[in-house]
Amino acid sequence: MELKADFTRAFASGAAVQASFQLALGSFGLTVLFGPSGCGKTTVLRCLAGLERPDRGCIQAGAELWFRQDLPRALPAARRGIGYVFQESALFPHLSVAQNIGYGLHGWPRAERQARVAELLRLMGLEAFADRRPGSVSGGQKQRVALARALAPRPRLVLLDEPFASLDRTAAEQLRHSLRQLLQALEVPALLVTHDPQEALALGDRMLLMADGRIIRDGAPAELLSIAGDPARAQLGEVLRARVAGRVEGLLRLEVGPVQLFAPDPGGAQGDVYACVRGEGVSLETGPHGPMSQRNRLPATIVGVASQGALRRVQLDAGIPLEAVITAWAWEDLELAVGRPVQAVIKASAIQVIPIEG
Amino acid sequence: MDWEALRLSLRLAASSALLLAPLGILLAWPLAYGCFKGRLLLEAITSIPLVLPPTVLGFYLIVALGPRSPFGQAWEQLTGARLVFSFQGLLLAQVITDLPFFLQPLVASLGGVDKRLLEVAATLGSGRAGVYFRVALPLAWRGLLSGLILSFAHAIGEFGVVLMVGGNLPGKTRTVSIALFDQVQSLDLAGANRTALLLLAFALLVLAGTAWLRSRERTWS
Repeated sequence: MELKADFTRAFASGAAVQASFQLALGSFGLTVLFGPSGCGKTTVLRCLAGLERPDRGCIQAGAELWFRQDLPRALPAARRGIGYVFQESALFPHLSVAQNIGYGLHGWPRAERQARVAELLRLMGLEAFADRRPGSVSGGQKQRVALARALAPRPRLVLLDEPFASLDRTAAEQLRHSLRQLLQALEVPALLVTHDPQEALALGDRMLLMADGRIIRDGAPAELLSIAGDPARAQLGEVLRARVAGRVEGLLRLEVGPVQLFAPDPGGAQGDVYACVRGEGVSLETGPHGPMSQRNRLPATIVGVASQGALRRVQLDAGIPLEAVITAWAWEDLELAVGRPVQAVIKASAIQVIPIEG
Repeated sequence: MDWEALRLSLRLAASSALLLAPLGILLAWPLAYGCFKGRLLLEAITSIPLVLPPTVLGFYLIVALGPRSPFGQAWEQLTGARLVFSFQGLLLAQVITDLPFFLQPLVASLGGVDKRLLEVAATLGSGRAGVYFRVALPLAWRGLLSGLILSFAHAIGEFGVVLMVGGNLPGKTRTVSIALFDQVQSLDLAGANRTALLLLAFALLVLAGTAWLRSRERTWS
């Protein structure tokens, strides 16, 4: 079954959010809806969930019509079978953790309801807090409860609106780590809103890139985040697919295509990862080759250059694509030119390793 | 001290609160969350007793409930008794008069409930009634309690409407505030003083109680 959405939500201010995409339902898949703050991501989610009515277009799941502009009533949120997790957990303060999780199981037989709540408490590691009120558990636990509550009624799709944004880093990383496994185990497809490129890379199978109220691209996260000129790319640097080949003196030894790089260990990284190399941490040298054993020193060829004020963004081919950001003065001084061989020296601290979850 | 009048007042106020609760809970729903054209009109109608002189309200109630009105006639045929100058008639008048005192704190509390909680409940399969009774109302319990207390207290103290609709029949419609009026009329100033002090202390207690409830509205322990 497939969810087809093609709608426009117009606001009184004149701004409009327009979305057109399809999502597979019935099997696991994590799609990231990515874009800067205020570009309309949450509006897309709210329209899908039935919390807001679009002004034009159509939303349908298989043969089931959820919204069409010429119909006076849209299918109410309650009957869409969608789980929704808010940025801040929005737990019912008058109910215990277990009652929160069981809220959506209202019509279920008692025994089944209890079994389902127990199952989710266990999956989320929340057994010890079952009888606590939401006010007395930590932020990370709250968000786990919110997730369990959304998943308990076996939704067809779960919508996650920046679910880690209100958490501290440790709690966010823990939850991020278990999120994908959990959704996979329960075979629930998810649409996750984020403006954090690392989150998009670590979690997403697919990415819908939003800007100015429109979905402008649809593809694999690593590909979309590599598109030059994108602000997210400036933040991440060059996104490279890599493999963890070992650990040396507290650094990760990465195999990136034909070359080897050393990078700080973010903890827990193994197997396939993304290595993001920021151009500001790449310097260029000419002249006699230094000791080749030196770490993160790669022979490269200049393949392009772009001016950016007093800076030059230099595109390199070092067996892997790289970018070096140097001053115009350095460019002149080293007598650099396109086609010239150089040595690229990459600071280990400029390489960010993002484990691929799941 | 006219103990019979006090007993009657308590009975009237308690019955009125009991009838008001289900009616008010149903009316508060569209007032707090409704988005339909007649909402402001409904709000105005349910608030009328707050500003209308009690005698005007009482007058219309006599007309509406009297033996010559269709409603009064139907009642008389059904029960064999008249509505005006009876406890039942007084109770009906009291419910209408007390309605805004019940509704206003409840609607305010309902309006203060975090909208996201209502939205989450909807995505979890609750229809409008489910959202209202399982989430909104339990979270607005302080407003509900305030409304009950205020309408009860107002019923104890109501004078004009009671006198117009109920008259002054000992044991049937003579409430404690009417008894006070009688005491003053018959120059029983010592008795009047005791009754007035009792009502004053009661009013202070009620207002302090509801103010305390309101001050705790934001916290959840």
